Amino acid sequence: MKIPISWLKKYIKFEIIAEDLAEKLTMVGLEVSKIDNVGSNWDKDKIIVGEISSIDAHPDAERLRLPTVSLGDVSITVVCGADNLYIGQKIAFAHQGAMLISNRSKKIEILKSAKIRGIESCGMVCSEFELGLSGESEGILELPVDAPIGIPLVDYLGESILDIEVTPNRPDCLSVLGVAHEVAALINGTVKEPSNHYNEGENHIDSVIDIRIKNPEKCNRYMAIFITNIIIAESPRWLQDFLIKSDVRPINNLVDITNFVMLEYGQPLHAFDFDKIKGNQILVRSANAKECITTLDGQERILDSSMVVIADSQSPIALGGVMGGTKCEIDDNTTSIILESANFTQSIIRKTSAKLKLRTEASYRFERGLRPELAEPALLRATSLISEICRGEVAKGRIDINVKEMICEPISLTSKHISKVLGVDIDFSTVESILISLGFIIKDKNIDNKNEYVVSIETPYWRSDISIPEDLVEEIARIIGYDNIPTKMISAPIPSGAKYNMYNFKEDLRDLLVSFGMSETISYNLTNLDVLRKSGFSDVNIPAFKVLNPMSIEQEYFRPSLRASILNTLTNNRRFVEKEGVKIFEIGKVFWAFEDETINFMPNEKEFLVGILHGKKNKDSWNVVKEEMDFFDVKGIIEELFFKLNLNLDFVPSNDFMFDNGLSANIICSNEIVGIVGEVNYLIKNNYGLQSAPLLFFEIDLDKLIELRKFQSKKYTPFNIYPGAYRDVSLIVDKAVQVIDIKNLILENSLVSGSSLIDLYFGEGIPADKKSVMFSLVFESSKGTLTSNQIERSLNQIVKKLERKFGAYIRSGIN
Amino acid sequence: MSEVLNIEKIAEIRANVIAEISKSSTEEEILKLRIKYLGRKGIISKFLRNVRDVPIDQRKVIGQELNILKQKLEMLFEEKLNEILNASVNPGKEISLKDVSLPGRRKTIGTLHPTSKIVREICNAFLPMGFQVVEGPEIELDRYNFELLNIPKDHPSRDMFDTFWVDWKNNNGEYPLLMRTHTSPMQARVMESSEPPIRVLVPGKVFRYEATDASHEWHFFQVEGLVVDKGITFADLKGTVYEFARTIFGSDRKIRFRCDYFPFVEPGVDVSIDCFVCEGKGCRVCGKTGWIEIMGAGMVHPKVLSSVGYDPEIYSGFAFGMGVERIAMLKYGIEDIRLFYSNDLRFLKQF
Repeated sequence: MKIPISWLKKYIKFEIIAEDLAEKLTMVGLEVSKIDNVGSNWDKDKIIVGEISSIDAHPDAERLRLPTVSLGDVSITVVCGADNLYIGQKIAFAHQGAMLISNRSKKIEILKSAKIRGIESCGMVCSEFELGLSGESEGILELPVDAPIGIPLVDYLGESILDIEVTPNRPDCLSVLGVAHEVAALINGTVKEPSNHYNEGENHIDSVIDIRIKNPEKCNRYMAIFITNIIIAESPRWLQDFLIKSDVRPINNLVDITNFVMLEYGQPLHAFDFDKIKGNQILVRSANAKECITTLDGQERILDSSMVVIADSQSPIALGGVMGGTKCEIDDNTTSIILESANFTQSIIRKTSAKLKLRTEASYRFERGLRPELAEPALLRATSLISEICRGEVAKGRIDINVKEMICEPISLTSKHISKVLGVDIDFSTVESILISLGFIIKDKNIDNKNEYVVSIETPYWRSDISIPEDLVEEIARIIGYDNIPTKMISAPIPSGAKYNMYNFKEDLRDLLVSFGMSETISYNLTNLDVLRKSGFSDVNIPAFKVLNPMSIEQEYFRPSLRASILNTLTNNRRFVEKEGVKIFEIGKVFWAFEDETINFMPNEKEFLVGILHGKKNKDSWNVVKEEMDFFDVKGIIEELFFKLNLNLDFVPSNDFMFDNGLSANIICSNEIVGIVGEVNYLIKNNYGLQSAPLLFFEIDLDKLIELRKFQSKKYTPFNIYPGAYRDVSLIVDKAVQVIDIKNLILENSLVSGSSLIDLYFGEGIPADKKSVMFSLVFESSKGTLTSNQIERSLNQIVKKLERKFGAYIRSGIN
Repeated sequence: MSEVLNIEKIAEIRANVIAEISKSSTEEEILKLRIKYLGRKGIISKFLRNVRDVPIDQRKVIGQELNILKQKLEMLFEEKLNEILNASVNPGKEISLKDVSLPGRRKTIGTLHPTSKIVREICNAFLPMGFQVVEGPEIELDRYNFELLNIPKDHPSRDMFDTFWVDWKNNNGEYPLLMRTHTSPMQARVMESSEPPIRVLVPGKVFRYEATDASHEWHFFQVEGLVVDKGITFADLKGTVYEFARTIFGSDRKIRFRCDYFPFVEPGVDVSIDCFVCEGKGCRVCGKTGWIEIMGAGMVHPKVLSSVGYDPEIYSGFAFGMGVERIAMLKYGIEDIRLFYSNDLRFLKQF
């Protein structure tokens, strides 16, 4: 909302500079995003209001003329190329040395005297462009005839315009008067409301038109005045100026007045050409389905029954609260009008405006909720201006329908309530003076000797945002200034019952994964089917669902998995694969929809962890291992992760579509599949154009895992006081035998407390279908130190058992 | 014994031994030398036995000198042996060991995403004040995202939240699901599911239907805070926010509270800190205002309390919400928000 300071000053006197006022308004909730200082660079001594006293022809150039400019005490003749000069014209004159925007460079330059076609020109007659008033240059700037000669232009035309970002709760501040009331509260001043006086004629409005509201749920109040003998012309300069500064284009005096009063009061008004209204009647009614209206912007609009129209006996003449129709549009020949000031139901206007994608100054205000009381002062003000400026004759009386909803209950405010909300006592005199300066009316007050008070307060007709005591507390607090309210620490005890939850779990996971050298990534929740297919989903197994209004088809589907997300991240970082390897993970939500039509249905939203390892084990350096990461690197991460989280862990082969046959495993915890780890297959790697290095991936369902974690807590195990003994055993077994089975069998022996695979070999020296495995075994007993006999006996038992079960035999020939 | 034992002789032996040690390069040679001089039948031992033949006036001095020499030799042999052993453990390593500028075998850990890092910093700033961290769904019902927060259907305050709707109709023919536009729905969820007192933080992803540029993302993170109890006031809100801002931005920052509007609070607040780039003078970072907005806040609206079944006569509370990336951008001097979720490791690995 643009608020010219000079307009504001018509209603409230103040001497604060624009910057300070902007700061104060911002603090009380009217954020001033910009101050437009018109003429801030016009030097008071150099740019002056002048009058053209004579014009001579240039002796050597047909296109140039030599106007003499009177500046009161002096006259100066200059060379001018503009063709809109005439004697007696008021103009802005710049002496040499003035700072103006150059027509050539489009930058601010110092005006120098110059010889133009042989004639010296000391100064110039300025165009709007040169003064920075407009982006284009169309001849010189013409000032009103009453502009006083000889005064600095900045004093005459200078202006500061505040650009205020009005929050949706304050439609009253979509008006100059509304802002004036805020200023009044800030400086403890009083607003002078404008004059709304006019004389009525003999003829009564009831005798010329019949106005009714058919659908009162859509229109809370409808007021109208009948005015005749109007002369349509250009508006006076002051009116046009205010409109231009407020970014409204002047049209003619009548339309300009309705716009001016809307900006002044915040109440949209509309004028209908009376002679174009059919049947001398106006009906405020719901639109009929498929009914049409051509709105003032020239568009034909198809309406539906949720909308409200103003209609004559035949058809709609306006789309209520949004825009007028061309049918009864004001034109140069208009002489009689019905001036409407109405109040439409806010949600109806909002829906209409959204459906038709038609947002206007009127709809913007109505959908924010205006008080029906506002219709009256605005109507009277506009009538008074029309009778004055358009010479209109106002008929007797006025239409005013459906005023029943205008009762506004006073709000009861107590000193206790104020201190309950703010945490500080505010004395009554402060409260009273703030509320009064904002226009509130104190209906009833009771103050006891302890300065406890109970007040009954009526809100002013322009405020629609105040309905409960807290609203009044905010009024008081913001005018006192939030910075002036004390600062305390919560004194209530800290609530108990904090539990380990998903947030804590994810934080633990992040720390562990980062400590393993992995970097966290976060990607978008939305994706598309191509991306999902690329990551290996076939159309039948995509459990994805969509956004109704995607911003682009690239981001249309909710991701059903993090696989595509992390593969994309990897692809975007492929530059790192060769030199240092990529180790990344992402924790995030995936979304699965299923058939359900209940009202409070929520899709399945699950928390997942994915990770990828790809490329070199280490960053290239002179003394590090230069191998590529393989399946056992990623498996090792899972093993340590689960160990640190105190979760049991098993792996069983899987056949997930994403992986190479045989190199993937389901991650099992407490007999449940909680994830998968493996080497991504060639086809998918190929989709992403990835290199030959193994692409290692894991995925874990965190919702499942956190449930399992809840049942497992860490317990200290005392260690054996008797020393253990180590024995290595090297065995030859069939390749098909799984190492884990050998290990488990070894551990079955009661004296063995640990067994780890320390070597695996196949190839030369070993039969083709066999492999050699070497285990390191720890023997110990809590009953005492084991003798070598005991150990040898156990070892023999183990080897025999392995032989029986897996056909294993001791590898000889090496030691 | 034919050899004369005097000070000169001792000095001569010392010089010989040092020369022989420096010529030796193997462990074996040194061990031999040690036997030659310090062995039971070695030269020094022999001299020590012969001290008694030295004239009585010199005996004491010679004895002392021999003992000093013995100790000195033991030390020299030890040093030389260590040197040889060191070299033999890793032959050819002398060169590397003498260039300490060679890069170490650096132990690298990974990096947290800057968003996670800042979420954690924010939460940690509030944890000592008794807050608990909870999270909520990213796809929400209109009811929680808007209605229970005093944002009815067809209300202009919905304009503050450009919304992505989920393509799913219920059996009333409505589209009730959306991508949450803020973390505030958790205010209603937390209050609905538990009794006061409440002190929670809600970090999480939120979504706005808006075009992206250097300072706007359609997908970003917020941290929400909610405190509800008996006797919670605006002064408590200010104190809590002050404490947080000081922890995160440092105690020399000025903090400004100004009136603002959010439908679910009354009174509503906008919290800013003075710009640390220009020290409040006005620059590009603060949009020439000297102030940087860091959060919205306010006293929980009585309608919100009643809508979840709390009695606003008994309970009061405050809520606040802040954008995480914005704080990260300020702290790290990041100028383009789009860097956060483009997942370029050149960006991510800096944190």
